[in-house]
Amino acid sequence: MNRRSIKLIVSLFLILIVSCNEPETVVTNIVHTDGSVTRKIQMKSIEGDVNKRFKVSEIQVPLDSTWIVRDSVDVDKKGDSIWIRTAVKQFKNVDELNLAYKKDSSANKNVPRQAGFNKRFKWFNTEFRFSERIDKQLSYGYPVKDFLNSEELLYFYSPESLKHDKETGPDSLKFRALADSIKHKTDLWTTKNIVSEWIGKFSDLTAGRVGKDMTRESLKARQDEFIQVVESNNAKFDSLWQNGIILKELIGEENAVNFKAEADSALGSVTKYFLVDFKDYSLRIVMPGKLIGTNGFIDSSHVLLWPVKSDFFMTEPYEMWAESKIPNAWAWVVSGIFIVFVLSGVIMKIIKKD
Amino acid sequence: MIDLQLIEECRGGNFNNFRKLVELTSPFAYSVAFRMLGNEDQAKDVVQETMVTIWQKLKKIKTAEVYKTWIYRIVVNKCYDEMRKRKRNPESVADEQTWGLISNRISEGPSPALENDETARIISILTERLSTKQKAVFVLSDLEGMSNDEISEITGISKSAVKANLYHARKSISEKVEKYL
Amino acid sequence: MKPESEKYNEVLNLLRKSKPVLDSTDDIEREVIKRISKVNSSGLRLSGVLDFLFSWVYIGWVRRTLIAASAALVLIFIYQQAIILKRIDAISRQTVVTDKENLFTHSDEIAKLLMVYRNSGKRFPSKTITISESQMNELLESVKELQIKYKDLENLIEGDPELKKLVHKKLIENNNNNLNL
Repeated sequence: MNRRSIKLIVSLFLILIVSCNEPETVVTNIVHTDGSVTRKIQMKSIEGDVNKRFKVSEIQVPLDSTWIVRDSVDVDKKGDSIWIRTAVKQFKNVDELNLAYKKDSSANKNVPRQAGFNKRFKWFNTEFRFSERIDKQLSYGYPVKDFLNSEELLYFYSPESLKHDKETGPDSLKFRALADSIKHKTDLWTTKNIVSEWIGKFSDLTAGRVGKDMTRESLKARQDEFIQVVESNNAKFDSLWQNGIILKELIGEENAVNFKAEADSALGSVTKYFLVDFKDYSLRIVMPGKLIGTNGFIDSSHVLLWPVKSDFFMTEPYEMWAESKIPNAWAWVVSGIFIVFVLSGVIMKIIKKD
Repeated sequence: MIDLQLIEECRGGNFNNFRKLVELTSPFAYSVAFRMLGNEDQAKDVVQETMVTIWQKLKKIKTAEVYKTWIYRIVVNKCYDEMRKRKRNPESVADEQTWGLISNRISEGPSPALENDETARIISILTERLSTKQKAVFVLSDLEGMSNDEISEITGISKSAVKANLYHARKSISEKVEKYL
Repeated sequence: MKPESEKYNEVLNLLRKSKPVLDSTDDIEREVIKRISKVNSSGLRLSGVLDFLFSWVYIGWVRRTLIAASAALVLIFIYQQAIILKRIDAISRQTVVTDKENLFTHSDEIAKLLMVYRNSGKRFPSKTITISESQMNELLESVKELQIKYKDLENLIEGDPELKKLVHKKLIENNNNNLNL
């Protein structure tokens, strides 16, 4: 669990954020040429209590009794026991996988996820594309790329193991500075998202019933001002909001009274996202044939790897995709024979000029 | 007369009918080849090769009218090949004797036809300075009696080129005749 | 203006009258049949099969269509393969994550590798660098090994305060030399 705390959301919400019972999970999708997927989940836990270990409600991805499960134990360098659960299931196609996601009762059941598979015949090669996509949570958020440069973006999406190694490696100073810069910028990004989302939701609820000063555009134009108000009242935000003080400061006394319900509803909608405690995991994909494109990281066994974290799909859909190709041997042979046949005919015609 | 029926039967692989075709085709093929090459053995070789080629490519023939033009074309092309080989080994011609022979035959009035070797010597001396194409055009036109259209089809050169070649051939031969006779 | 004169016409008449005579077509027939039979038993069959297979070559629109189709196939192949190779090349430049070490293919890593190469005493031309793939892999492996050993050494030094002080002092002394590598 690596959830970043949010200054605005205090007390009750902070408690929900600090929960670390989920296992360290890696999900591997082995994609086959016919569109079937062999899905393997590897979970590692140091939880001593067997009743709490690998609880379905703590697991990050769908897992039920139809899976083939195997448990084992390992010992780490410090001498602690690590319990490992490996579960494997064969899905005939991505529709079955998507059905599993729909019926999901795991920890991340409230986050809609979807897999996709596509096969394209291109005569000399057949190209395959597999993806898993998580829809964005906020409707009015900003893309993170508006806040980070390309180097920061790459680091932002990197797996934790990679970040750990960089920050303890030869260029550790550089990468620690980079990490700090990213944290500072993403804190600002998160704050802006929350405010923007609230403005968006509030405008949706009050559409057509407000004056010119309360339209979405005018509220958006005052966004920075809102952020200032919120940040300056950060410590006692909850009580100040309950008393309507913050709201009065934002939209004026009259509007605060008239639209208190809508404001509360909008805030509730925003915090609903942060209440959803998404449990991180890693996703790997093994594609058939030769890899020709991906937006993931390539690990030591040439398998594609993506970290799956809530930040990644806060304001934009997070799609993890990979493309590969397999040459169609018969098409190569047929084309070769055809070209040789035509060439032979032409050469024969040139020779036999009579 | 060569008709399409005979050709069709030959296409089917009928050797007997092909013998007949050879019998009908050889004389006029030989006439052209001999007049072009001036050598009996070489002319016979050309005729043989022509007939073998005809056997191999009979399927290309669609009408009997086309057949004759096609045969002449093959004969002329094979004569060209032979003449190209010969250019490397030019043969000398006895000029005075040959002019004497021509002069005697003309002054005799109506006389029997020339022997093959005599014909060969006369044609050789008359066409000594002609190019291969000019010689072919002269033989086909003035000796074989073909029209310019037919010659154009056989040799593959345009009608205007046929006329030009023919003009030069006749001019060259006339000058020689005027000079030596 | 025709160059022919009376003498010319007389000479021509003499030649026209004297058509070359083919003494016998039997020899020619025999030779031709002999040659055809030889060819029939071997090459003609093959020739027939080839003619059957490649008869389309003589039909203009079929020939052109097939040639265009072949050319299109070749172009499509080249285009597809070029795109795929480009994409594979782009992937090879993506970050690789290993369990213990990270292997980067950014330009600063290559600069470090070149520095190591230079320090080993080798010389290379000032503007061009030629290193084989296996040499590059060897270098990368060595760097990885060194990184692991450096970490172990770091841990050792961190654990011993006296040693840490000594190393720190030495590092300051050698600082300029290290930078000038």
